[in-house]
Amino acid sequence: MIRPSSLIKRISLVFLLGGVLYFFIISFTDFKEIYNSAGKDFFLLNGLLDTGSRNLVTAIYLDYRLFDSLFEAGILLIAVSGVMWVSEHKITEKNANFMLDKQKTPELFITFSRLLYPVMLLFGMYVVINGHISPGGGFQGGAIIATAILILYYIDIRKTIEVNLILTIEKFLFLFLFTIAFISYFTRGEFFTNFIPSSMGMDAQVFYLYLLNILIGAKVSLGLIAIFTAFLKEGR
Amino acid sequence: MMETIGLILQILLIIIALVIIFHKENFTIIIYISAFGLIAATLYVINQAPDVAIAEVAIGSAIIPLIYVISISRQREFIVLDRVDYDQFNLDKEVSDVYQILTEFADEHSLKLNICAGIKGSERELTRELNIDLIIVYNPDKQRFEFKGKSSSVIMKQLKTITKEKPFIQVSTIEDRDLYD
Repeated sequence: MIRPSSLIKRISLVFLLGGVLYFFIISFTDFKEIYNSAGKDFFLLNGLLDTGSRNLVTAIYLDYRLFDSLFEAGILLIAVSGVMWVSEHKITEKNANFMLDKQKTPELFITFSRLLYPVMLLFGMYVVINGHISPGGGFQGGAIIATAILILYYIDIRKTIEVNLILTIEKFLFLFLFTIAFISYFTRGEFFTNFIPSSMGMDAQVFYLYLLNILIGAKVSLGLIAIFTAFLKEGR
Repeated sequence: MMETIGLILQILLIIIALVIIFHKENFTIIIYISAFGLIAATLYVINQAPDVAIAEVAIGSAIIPLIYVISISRQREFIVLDRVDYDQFNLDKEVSDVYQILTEFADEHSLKLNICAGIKGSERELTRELNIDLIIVYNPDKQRFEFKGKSSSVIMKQLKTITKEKPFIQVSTIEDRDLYD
């Protein structure tokens, strides 16, 4: 049985959402203004010269729209912190002694994981470092590295990772990322863009892309490792 | 040619999405989620978005299914905390009977029995915070074992009916009613 006050709340919420949808639809009258190729032409023409990145996606998320990328990294940090908070236990679990934990992984799977693990790690690093030349970048490479380290758990289940330390490192990396993005104000007078002036040439600008891709890759991989470590350790 | 492949993959994607919704077996659903991620990644490549495809392969078809596998295998465990002081009392025969009952019970419901010992803390906190399903305590005055678990757990009701005829086991429940609004 729903209480009357809660019913009024729900009905008003539905009307509010309907109103938002209505205004959203009537605001789109001229579709030619929205769907055109102006943005695509601009990035194809200026992307390489402005940022030094051959991959235009990297050019956008590390230079033109760095502000968005920073908050994307922040959202991942908030998600990881939320998972940590939910799975946190007050009781000291160090004296937990599980006697009958016979979670045996198949031998074939372990052997293949051992073969695959270094290749995956190397591929993840390749994707991170070559983010400005080939498809990929910090987020994608970080996810691949995290998957490689997840495989490590299947090789040896007793492996322990200090989750709180990982979370602390991730927080400092996020702070460092913000600082590097902020340097451009002193060197070029603009917020959140490449701190190396474009007059120094494309080869110098690439250094910034390397640095930021590696930072984002490390942050994303640490965040994902923290998430699945929390899932693995939940209730132990 | 490429358009035909894209069309076929899109139809396959819809079919797999419907299968994920209507299937009953959890581990099969995880395989389908993985396949869904792979097909979506292929579609991204066909539509010239290789950056998104790499992220989709790594997250959609590797990390998320593995997290699901971990969570579901956690739910299939039957975690028992043994708090009987074996040095103080001599009860080898009774203990083997108790564990016989627990093993049969776990096998019957295809759960994995996980026995642990030596965790400190109050019973109420342990069942709430650490997902422990059952705590075994020995009562020396009445010469019987006491099984303690959450009152909301289905396992406890079934254990009660099973151990009705055993005089040396008593099943009691701990109130764990959470107040949510």
